[in-house]
Amino acid sequence: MLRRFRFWFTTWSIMSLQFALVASSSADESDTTLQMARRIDHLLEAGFEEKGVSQASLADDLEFLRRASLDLTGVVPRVSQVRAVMDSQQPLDRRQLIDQLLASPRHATHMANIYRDVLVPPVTDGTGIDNAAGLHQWLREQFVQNLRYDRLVSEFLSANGSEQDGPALFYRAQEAKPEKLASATAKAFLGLQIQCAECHDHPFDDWTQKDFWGYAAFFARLQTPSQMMTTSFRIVDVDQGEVTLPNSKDVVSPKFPRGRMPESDERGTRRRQLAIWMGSRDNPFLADAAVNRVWSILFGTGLVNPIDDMGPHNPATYPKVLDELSAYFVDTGFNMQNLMRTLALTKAYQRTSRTDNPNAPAFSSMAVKTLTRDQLYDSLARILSNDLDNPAARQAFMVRMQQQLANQTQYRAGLQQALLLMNDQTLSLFTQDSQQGILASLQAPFFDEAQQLETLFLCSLGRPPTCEESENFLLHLKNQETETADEALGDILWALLNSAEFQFNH
Amino acid sequence: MFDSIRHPRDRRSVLRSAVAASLGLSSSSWFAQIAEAAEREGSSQQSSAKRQCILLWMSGGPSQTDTFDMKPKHANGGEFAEAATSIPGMRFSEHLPKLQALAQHLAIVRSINTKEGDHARATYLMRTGQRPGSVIPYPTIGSALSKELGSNDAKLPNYVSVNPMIEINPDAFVPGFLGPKYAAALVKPANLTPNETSTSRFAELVVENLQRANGINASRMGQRQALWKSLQSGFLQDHPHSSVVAQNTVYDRAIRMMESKEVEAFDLSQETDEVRAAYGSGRFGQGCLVARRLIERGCPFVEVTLGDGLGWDSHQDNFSIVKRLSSELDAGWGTLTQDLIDRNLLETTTILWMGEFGRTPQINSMAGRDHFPSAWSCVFAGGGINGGQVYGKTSKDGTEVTDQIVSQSDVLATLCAAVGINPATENISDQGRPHKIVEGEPIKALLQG
Repeated sequence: MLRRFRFWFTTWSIMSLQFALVASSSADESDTTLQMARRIDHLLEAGFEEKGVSQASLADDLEFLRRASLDLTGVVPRVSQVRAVMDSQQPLDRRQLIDQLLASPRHATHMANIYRDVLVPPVTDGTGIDNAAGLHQWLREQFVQNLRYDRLVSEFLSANGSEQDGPALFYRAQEAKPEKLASATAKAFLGLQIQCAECHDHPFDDWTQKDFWGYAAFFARLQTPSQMMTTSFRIVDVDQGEVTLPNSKDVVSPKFPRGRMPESDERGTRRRQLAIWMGSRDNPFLADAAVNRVWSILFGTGLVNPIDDMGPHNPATYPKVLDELSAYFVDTGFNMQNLMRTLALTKAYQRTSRTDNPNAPAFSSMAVKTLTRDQLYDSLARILSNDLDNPAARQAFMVRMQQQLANQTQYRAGLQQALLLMNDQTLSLFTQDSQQGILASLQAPFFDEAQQLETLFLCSLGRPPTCEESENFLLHLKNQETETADEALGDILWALLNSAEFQFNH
Repeated sequence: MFDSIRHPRDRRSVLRSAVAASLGLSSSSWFAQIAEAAEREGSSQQSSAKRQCILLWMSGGPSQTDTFDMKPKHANGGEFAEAATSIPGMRFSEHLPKLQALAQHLAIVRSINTKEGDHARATYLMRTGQRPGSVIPYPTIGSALSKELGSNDAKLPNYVSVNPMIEINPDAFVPGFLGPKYAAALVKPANLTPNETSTSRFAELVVENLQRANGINASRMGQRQALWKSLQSGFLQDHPHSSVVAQNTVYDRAIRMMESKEVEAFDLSQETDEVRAAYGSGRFGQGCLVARRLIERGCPFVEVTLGDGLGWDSHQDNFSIVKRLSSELDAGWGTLTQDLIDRNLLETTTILWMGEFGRTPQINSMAGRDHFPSAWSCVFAGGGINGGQVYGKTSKDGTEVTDQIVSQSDVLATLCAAVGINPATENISDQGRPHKIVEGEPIKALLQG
């Protein structure tokens, strides 16, 4: 029964999607965004055909709505958004939805969450996430105005000021040490793992130790935290400072990765010289690294994996897709929103994640991604109560949900996290007390049990219950003694929020 | 239903399955010999018992010169006197009286030489056996060994860590490529606000969220789980991805643990005040008592940290710090060892005492000792260990190893061998490459023949 229902649903939506694609394409024949999306699909499909890989059908509208909301705004869709799609006679205009999501203030917050964790990974941030507020705010401002990505990186690397102002937290997390800043910026912005060249020439790639220290030399003229007595770190450029090869006195002069040495007439601090090079056409890495990272945000894994270990030793699964997207990203002015729009418009992104082959080749069906702790918390807050949207509660949750973000297709939570989500006193308040949050709002007199049940499914899973689920869950409501009737709805909410279907983006 | 806990698995079958698991990858002859030896031993008491492990982690780096490798005739020796122990010629700090009486169980290693002198890096090095900064997320030793020693249907977690200082380098405390299934369950100090004082005179340790939320009784929880299971099976049916399966497994284990009788291991109120006091009233002492209760109930790997934060980091005022910590250490470790002996569990439980590095033999101008990875000590005890001996030697001033140099991987390989696990057992990383638990060689002299 369940199967048949889903089959019907899927078939219906494929038809609707094809209609949508045709409709918008006839209107936008010259639309380069859509053309690029089609070009990616063409390249991927050619690869699948060559290998004889079958591709999953397209996701239905509700599956797509939840996925795109989580990927582009970091939160599950509202009940009203889900209902609008269900009630509409027309298939969902996916392009319009993507544009709306990208224009939402939540999009900038979501991107700032992601890049905060990229720049100061939660696992190495012993100082606590509250200190990252300045960095988050700084990033969010850049994403709100959709600043060109090359400019964003340049500004990040030439920023001054304190942790409250933004980038300084990144410098402090790396102790303002040239070698640490070199490793961290290479990973984050160049997609390169050059840290092993700190001590010896790179074993797989052709980075020499001298290349590494030539890059590190750009960060040699900074005041280090220990030289200052203040508790809040400020980025301060100083006039002197050199790096030397380990265990030697050989000073290494600044040299751009795979490139030249700065000209003697290049002005400004060494950091400034690097910032300018970083955003220039001389830098062959920036666009590739950005494209690979954005791809992984939407598809769960990168075109190159690990996403920050790019180079000839580790080629992309679809090298042409990476090359052409990278060129396109440069041509479209390092426009991050447009890059996300393009990827979200591909058929590859719109395929269903339903499969009976969990090991299907990448991108032939949609990956299942673990919600990041931000996505999880923001979704819980949206579903349960706005009261959760306060810094103290958020902080307590974030600390306990610490996880690695490197690969979203892997589940990184453990026992502690499962116990938290099942038993935490704060969360439980909203799955028990019928006077609180969503359970209170379900007490409205015009809601019958079936409608209450449906609302709980829509807010958490973004879909109505199947017939089988309806029957089963309504039975649970009916079987209650009068005094526990209120609690029965809470039980259903608890089960939904602890389900894999809620805790993954699929 | 508690049979798997009360009647531990036959060691031979453990070894056989471990050999089977490593077939096709690498099955070293050294290990095959042990497996054969176990077969020959037949059903002797010792070989049929489950193997367990306790890591006493000394956060901040304890001073070897003031504990287990004293230099009483040298200026570096400092304020403390050396004391005799139950083993003639084996001498260590006067501030460890209980351990002096148990010296026949201790094997002191005085010749560790490592290359990391930074807390974060050294913590990673000693807990994984790998140099920090690798692309590969190596598992911490507790995850790797609990994977080998533990069972999937155990009611208690296979790896429990009491009060760890994770913040110093979170990468050093995680299961890495082994996956979240092998993560430690954390026992933490109860969350008391500064104004709130504990009603107990003993440190309170808890597993967060182990109890059902207030107002949810067992029957309600049962109904919730039934609904949850129906959702899980529906989703797993058309999303059989490994991550979804992992989420389901993690939840299943959490639920099984919550509902088990064994979970009482964490409830120290079941112990008399007398026993609790003997262990020491602080977090380490009470943590050692939790460890004993977990070992009694079959948990294969328990870790207890001494030194809230980086307690052993005695750059200033070394002697008062070490004296205080030694007294906690002696009460906790000494009482734990005696309790394990009384319960016939020490023979099958290996204890490793270790920090991330040692401290300079030289005393600095603030009566402190600084980070020192060149020549330092650790101590093995209990199961599989040939106790009552000192291994390795440092120079008269303590600044260098003069005999039987030992690396971080040798320490961890010895721990593996002591609990009957081949250190060359391979696991597959995220990127599909096999990695040994540890690359080093077990120190044969420390192991029971």
